Amino acid sequence: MPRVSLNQTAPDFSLADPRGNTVSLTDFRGVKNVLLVFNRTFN
Amino acid sequence: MAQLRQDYSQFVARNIEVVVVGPENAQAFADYFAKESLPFIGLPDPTASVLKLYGQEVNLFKLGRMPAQVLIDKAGVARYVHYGHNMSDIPKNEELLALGDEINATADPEPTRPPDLETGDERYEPPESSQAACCLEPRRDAAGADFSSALHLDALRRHRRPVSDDRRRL
Repeated sequence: MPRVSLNQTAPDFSLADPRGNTVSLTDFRGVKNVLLVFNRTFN
Repeated sequence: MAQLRQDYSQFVARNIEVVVVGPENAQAFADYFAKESLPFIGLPDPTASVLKLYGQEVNLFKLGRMPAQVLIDKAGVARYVHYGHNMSDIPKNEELLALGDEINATADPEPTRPPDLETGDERYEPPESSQAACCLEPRRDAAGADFSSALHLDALRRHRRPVSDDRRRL
């Protein structure tokens, strides 16, 4: 399994939110910090 | 996620956007976020492309994905990476918020500069009139020695020092 390394640029990705808007990690570049949460299943 | 929602305003205050990625489809995300009134950005990842990219662990014995958190600063650099080894292996909010403070302090030092230092550059560039006064009127120390030229040189030296040097020194 690949893992993200500390103090390295986090891999970029693009996903659509439930409304169909595309969100990319780079959208936040220079604007906001991002806490990326990989969820276990909803329950 | 309930834990994160509890302190959401604290994350906002630290300019941290909470982005939740999960394998459920868009409908499941929409339903769950509405039901729990979650203020986060939710990104369904049914093909697990990002989950794989980031290496979220799947524990087949426990039939589920292990939680993982990555705190990424404004420059796009991962400043905190946590891969949970069981379902309840989640970092405390305080830990994440403290990291947020640290990241903001190092990545964006401007707001934390004391106000008196922000005008530091101007202090080394006296207005024309005061420069003229300094050079026209000889100033004397207690012993009567003329030290105006020394003062002038000093002012010039300060004036010529690149701004970046001043910042570094401050």
